[in-house]
Amino acid sequence: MRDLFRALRRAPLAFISLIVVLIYVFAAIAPGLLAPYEVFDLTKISLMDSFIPPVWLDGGDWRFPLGTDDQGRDIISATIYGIRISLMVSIAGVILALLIGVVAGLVAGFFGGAFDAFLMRIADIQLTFPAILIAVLIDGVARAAVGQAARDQLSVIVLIIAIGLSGWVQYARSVRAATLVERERQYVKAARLIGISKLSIMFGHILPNVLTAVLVLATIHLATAIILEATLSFVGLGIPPTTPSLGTLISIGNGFLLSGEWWMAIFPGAVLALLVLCVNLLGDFLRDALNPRLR
Amino acid sequence: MKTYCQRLALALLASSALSVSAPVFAQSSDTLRLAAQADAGTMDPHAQNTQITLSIQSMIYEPLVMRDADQQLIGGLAASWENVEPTLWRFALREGVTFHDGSAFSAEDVVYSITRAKAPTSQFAGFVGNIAEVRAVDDMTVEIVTTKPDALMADKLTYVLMIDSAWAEANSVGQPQDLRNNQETFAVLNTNGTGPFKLESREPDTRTVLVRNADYWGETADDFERVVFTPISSPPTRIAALISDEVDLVLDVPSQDVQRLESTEGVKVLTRNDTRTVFFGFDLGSEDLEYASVEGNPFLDVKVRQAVAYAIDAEAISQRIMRGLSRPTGMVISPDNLGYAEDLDAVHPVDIEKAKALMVEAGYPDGFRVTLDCPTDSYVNGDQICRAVATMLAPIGIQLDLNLLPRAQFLPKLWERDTSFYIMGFNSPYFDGTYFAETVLMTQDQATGEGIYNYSGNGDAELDALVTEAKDTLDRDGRAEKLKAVYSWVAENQLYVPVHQQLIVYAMRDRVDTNVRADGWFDIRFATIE
Repeated sequence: MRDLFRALRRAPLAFISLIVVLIYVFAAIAPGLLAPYEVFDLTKISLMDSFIPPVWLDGGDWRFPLGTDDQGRDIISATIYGIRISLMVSIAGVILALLIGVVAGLVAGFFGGAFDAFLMRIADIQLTFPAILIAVLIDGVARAAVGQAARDQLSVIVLIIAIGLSGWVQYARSVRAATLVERERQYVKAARLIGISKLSIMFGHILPNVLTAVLVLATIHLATAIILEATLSFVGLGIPPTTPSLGTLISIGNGFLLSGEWWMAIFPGAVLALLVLCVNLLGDFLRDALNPRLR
Repeated sequence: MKTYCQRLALALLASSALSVSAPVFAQSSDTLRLAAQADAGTMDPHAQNTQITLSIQSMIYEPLVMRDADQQLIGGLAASWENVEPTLWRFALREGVTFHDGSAFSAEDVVYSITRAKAPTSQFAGFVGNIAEVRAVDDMTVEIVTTKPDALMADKLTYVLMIDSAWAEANSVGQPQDLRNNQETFAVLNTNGTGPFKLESREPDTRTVLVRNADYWGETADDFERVVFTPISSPPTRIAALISDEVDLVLDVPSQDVQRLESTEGVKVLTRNDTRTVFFGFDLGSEDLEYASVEGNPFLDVKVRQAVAYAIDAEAISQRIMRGLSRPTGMVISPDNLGYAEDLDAVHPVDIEKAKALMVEAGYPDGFRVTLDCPTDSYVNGDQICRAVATMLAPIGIQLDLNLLPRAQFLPKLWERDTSFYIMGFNSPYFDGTYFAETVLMTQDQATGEGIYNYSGNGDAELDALVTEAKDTLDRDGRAEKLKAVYSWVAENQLYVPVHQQLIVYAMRDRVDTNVRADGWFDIRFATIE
């Protein structure tokens, strides 16, 4: 851990990325502290405040430094609340993918045989589908199963499942590969000899040794998950348009790009791009820093 | 990093594939490339009464009576007609008209088509419900007997398209497609009409190509060879397609883009006041509101409906969302309708305090939660209006769950009266408030065509009596008075909450020109390309 911090000090880009990501996380945890307005309280919004441009343009208003959207919502506040939903959904999705992937990978790698073949063929099949297609499929199934209105209320859960199920394969493959190596090691053989149960060998002994790879994967997957959430919400398959997420904000703003109200799409878009960039930089840094062969 | 890039590329690819259909037809004076926000629902001429469906179908199929550029009645497949007796109309059919397959158009086809339009699965019962009998006197003469005198019979027949009886029988499409049960029939993808264009190919929701009928009996303003119709549901994509000259004419233009298009070189914008009124409707037919968090049905209480009316700011919607391109209204019918009354048309005042007081009086001091059904591809800026109304109703305690859905899913919900609260636009096709009164206000009765668009499920004997009285009054001035009584009843009881009449906006390349009809029906006969 101390090595990691030392490496971080030598990588200014990763350091800045980390700070930016921490700011995002803070915004997501306590949006009320940063956002000037409460965007979920519809009684505080007035249609007469709609389409106000950022302050440096004609007609700007200091009440709304980056302008307002078509309903009169403050862009800054909507974006901050948008970060909350986007991050929450993607992190939960990544955790779900990680849980499924790690368990599948450990089991496949440790037991091998038919189990391994079965799980890995499922993984192969899934890899032939792009993540977005799987997400669309899950969304469609949810819509058919619970109906449109209920699906909107469950939209966060549906998205988390979509991200989780479309992303577990990477984890499963790398954990399986690492497990195949680890299970032949002396400490595993020793643990077996003294009669420790398979379950605790898997989770107590092997897992800690494959976890660094998983951590790197998870960071990079997070960036993908954020994009996937934004994409699905953009095309109307994710968060309902009344709830601000980065994807829905960009989607709504997209309708006004041609008419000149660019700020509605550009600011949430820039915030999304910066977040994904920083998470990716951080992921790259972790991969390099945690890889013993590169050290 | 590689997989990330791949995924991003795929995501972009997938999202663009969802919103754009790749245009393959280049610009040419021989092809009119038309785009609208939604596709025609079917090619069956009696299955779906919506504007875009009729606009596309009327390129292929034609009615007995048509309208000219000034919306006056002219002969279509009927050369002339007379109202022989109050309940008897005689139509002399046009000679020498043939269907696209070469068979001759005759009285038998008229009888067949009108009978078909009366079927339970037809959505045109409102136009033919009053017809008691239709008979062929000879090959070229048809007589129509109505149950009651009907001053508007010829007007109504502008909506009834003629189909070839032999072709329909041979392909077993004697009944209109049953859209409620998602029925598919031969007539959904195949056509045989008399119109200026023949259907060349059709991919629902993707592209419809029509090719000129060389044997067309009538005249059209231009002689371009082809029409390519592409539905593009995303407004910015649709507008971008016009600006980049991938389409020639766009029918549904969002208000916010009008200014930009007017200042774009090579593009022009034509507008006209629409006769269609956009309004909010309530479920008034259920004891218990289906999609709501409350026991019973609060909308049955007129005070709740009035509270909604006091909370919705139609002026703000017009100024902000429509950018002035709409006419806020207090009436459910537009000024060019018989029965319109200026004093009823005052825009409903906004008074949140009063609305709150009404909610308390009605017994809902804390309000309730209800789902608003809102089509995203039917009305100009429809989803923005719905989101704005969610904001406007919040202060009086009515929390809206927005159910934004495409028209293809929205309409069946209305047909089944499977809605608690909805937005709707309704057009009076022949400038007479009788049509709205009998098809929207009256208690639903499929056989007579009364109340077939009464999606609120309201049934009120007093209102029915008022409407019946009005529609049985043949004298125009007398009917206008009776209709006024109907519409003041509607206002007093706040059956609907009117919002506005939108402006019809067509945007097109400079070389294209067309006539904009007040009823929003796009008429291919008037389109020209230089």
